[in-house]
Amino acid sequence: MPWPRLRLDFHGKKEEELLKQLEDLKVELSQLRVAEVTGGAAPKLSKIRVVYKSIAHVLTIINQTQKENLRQFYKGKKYKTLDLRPKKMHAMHRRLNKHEENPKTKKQQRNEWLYPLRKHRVKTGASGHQQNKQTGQKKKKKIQEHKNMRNLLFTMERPVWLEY
Amino acid sequence: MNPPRRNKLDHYASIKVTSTTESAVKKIKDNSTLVFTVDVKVNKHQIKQAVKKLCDVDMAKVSTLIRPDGEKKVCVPLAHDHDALNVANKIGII
Repeated sequence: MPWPRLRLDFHGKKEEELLKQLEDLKVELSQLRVAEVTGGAAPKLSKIRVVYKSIAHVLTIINQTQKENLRQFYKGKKYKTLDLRPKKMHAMHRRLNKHEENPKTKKQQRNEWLYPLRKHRVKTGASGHQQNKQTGQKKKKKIQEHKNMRNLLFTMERPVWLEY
Repeated sequence: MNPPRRNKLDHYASIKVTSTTESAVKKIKDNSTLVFTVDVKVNKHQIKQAVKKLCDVDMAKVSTLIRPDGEKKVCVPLAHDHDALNVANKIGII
């Protein structure tokens, strides 16, 4: 801290106390200003800044707590005062809701829920062949062919998924 | 709408300083008037209230003028039962 600060603890005080403190500080400031005009001593002159800043400090705390209390009061309510509403761009407040933008009928919603778009995956490799319990000659040949094909596929540059 | 903002031009902010120039001091002694430098946006009614509150005096009149450098100067002749010298001493000017 380059200059001395008034070590007053403002947090945790009640509103009346804070307001009274504010009054006292303002009176002190006016007295200091008189001293400034009549050619006061150096410590008085340097104190002006300190008092000035602590007035600002008290006011900040008063306003902050007031705002906080207001937010608590309006929490959950539908209509808040304008300064408590979320601050976005001018245009964003005037846009349609998500719900209003893409409205769906109940019928459509129900259908979408009942019959969603299914995604299928193709099993390749050993897991795909566990279903083949028989290991006849033909099957073996087929397996070998399949393996060859698979190796070929994986050596190709673009992945090509085929159903086996 | 938004809640009303606090009044930023209260008594302490309206009266900036009591004037201590030679002519001002002369006025205090001879004419029993106080001279203040005041915020430009303040009107006579507000000045009356502020001076009443800060100095505890009754005044006969309030006359204002705006100085060439943009400051508002206020001349406040006090009521008969008040002495400007005492008030000035109390404030700390003299």
